[in-house]
Amino acid sequence: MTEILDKRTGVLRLFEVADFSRSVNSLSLGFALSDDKGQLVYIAEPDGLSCNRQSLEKVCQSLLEKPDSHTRDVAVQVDTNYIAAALVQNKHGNSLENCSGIAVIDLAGGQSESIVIALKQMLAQLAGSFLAEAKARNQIEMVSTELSQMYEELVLLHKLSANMKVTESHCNYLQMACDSLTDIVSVEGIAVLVEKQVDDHRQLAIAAGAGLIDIDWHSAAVIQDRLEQELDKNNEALLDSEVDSPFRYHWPDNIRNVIAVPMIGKEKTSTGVSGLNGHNHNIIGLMVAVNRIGKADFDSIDAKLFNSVANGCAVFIENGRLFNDLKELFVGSLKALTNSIDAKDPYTRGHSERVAFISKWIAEQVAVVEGLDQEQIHKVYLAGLLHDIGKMGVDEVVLRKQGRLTDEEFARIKEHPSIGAGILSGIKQMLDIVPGVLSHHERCDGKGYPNGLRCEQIPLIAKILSLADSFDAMTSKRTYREALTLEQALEEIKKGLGTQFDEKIGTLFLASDVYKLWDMIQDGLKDIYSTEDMSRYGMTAVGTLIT
Amino acid sequence: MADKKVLVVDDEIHIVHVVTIKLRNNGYDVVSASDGAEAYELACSEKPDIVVTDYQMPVMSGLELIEKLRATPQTADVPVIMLTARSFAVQEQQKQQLKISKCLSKPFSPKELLRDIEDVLYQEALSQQG
Repeated sequence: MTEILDKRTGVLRLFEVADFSRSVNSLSLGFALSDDKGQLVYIAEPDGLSCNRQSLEKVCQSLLEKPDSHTRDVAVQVDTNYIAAALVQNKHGNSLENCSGIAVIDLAGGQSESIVIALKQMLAQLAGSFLAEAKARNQIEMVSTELSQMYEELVLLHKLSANMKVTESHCNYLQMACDSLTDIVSVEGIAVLVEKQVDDHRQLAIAAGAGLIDIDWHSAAVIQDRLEQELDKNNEALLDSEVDSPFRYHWPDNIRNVIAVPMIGKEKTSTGVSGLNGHNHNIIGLMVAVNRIGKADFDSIDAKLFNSVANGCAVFIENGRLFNDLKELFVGSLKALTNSIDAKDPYTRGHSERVAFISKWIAEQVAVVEGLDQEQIHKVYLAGLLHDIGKMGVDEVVLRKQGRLTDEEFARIKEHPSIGAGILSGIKQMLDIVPGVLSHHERCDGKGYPNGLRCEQIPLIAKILSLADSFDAMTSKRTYREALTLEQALEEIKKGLGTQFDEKIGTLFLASDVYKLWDMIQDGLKDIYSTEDMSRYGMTAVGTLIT
Repeated sequence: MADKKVLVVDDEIHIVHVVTIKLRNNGYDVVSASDGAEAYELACSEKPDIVVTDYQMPVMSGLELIEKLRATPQTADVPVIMLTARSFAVQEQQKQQLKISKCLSKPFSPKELLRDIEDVLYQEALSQQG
């Protein structure tokens, strides 16, 4: 009795069976249950009756083996001695599936017709309640599986939005989206294609993917064209397979089914890639997957999920582009500002960019011993670019004057750090740079301006700018003197250690490979020794200010 | 090797179903309870290889359950993964004290839970070997 009749069902409805067997026994009849192999697992005999086990087993097995099972769905009288019914988990039309056992009533040699009819009804009810429970269990299983899938989808969509930060790299995000999606929707191959500028036109290129899929720009254009036809018909995805009907389009041989969804840009005016036939959906990318695993074909549920993920990717790409535009605008504005300073003073042309470059060099030397991070180095670079911005507020006549300055004129010049700090302090993102601009003419011996700070009072960023500024000034030609040679300039710096310059920073600079630095300056600020692209460096540096 | 046995505890019956189906389909033996007290009894009688429990439950909360498991010699070392809708409520210190292997915040991915269970059981097997 305590044996479990069917392991799949877990717990047998033992109480119900026990109740049933008691009522059968009270009629002085025997009752037995078999498992799905026809082996008896339970026998209830009334007093004075002993059932024939062999016959019972034979009855069970004969019922299980009957290929035509339409009689097995309700209780049947097998012969004068037995009524039996199959306990099943599932029923489709006339056929029974997953029979978990047979219930048999022993008629003890035969009963009247009316009793047999009543017993048949009772047995049919028992079988019916088994079927009902089995169905309920199947339904719970289906609902749970469905719910499980929905949980996966929900978590995926959470993940996509949680990772949507402008600082996240393009490739990482798209690859993460691909991997997470295929974790839930199994496919043989998936690819994310994003539009890219190639020479004078834009075309789609793979940016992320997994599995066996390779799409060149021409196939991408073909897929896009087919997808756009679907979009024209207000469908959300291109779905093609040969499950219900032949393929609508020709695909490579190993393709069984295909899904493609668009990534659509927000801006109407943007120059999205246009397909072959010049639709206008402003498509900035595609997500394409082939050969669904686990299902015959991609369905509308898959399509919705693909669309959600593609939309997330589209927003991410667009955000990235806007952020890039913002950075470019910022860098452009900075360059315009520094160019306008240089324009006022032709002898210092290029000075701001050189000071920025040299400051970065010094900051990198300092970083080794002081633990400056990349972000701080970027800020030093930008401070170098802007250190003389206050000269905009100084009379051009004074700036361009050849020969000795009067005390009055020199006082004007000395105002430029304060003016520069004032200009920049209005910009929230520049707050870390302002101290550098304000104090780049301070000296360690307290003889600098505007505030006559002493060594320990001068911010590190200003000490770096001061050294870089002086080095560039010394090695540049002035109206009143020739440029110093590199060796002369280094000698001057050595002399100024502890008085004009911070001893530690100055020493680090002198110990660095200044000949390499010199080469790069002569070469137009190209870092010929590394792959770093200096023309993009400003963009990267600016990124640290606006995130 | 016998199937690994998982005790799943949650008063939200749909969570129990979701987890049970996922685990059964991946070859685990699953027993379930809908509150901490029932779970404690099952943990003692069924000796699961791992316990997956909710945080907030009637009768006995998830934390109380784990405290009791840890205080009982035969269940003191059973690995525990906690599911919670209040992930902020479980302090790192509590996690270490009660030896909670992992906390998953709801809604969680059933796949991720499966992976975590595999990880935890694998680590457990390694540490028993070593």
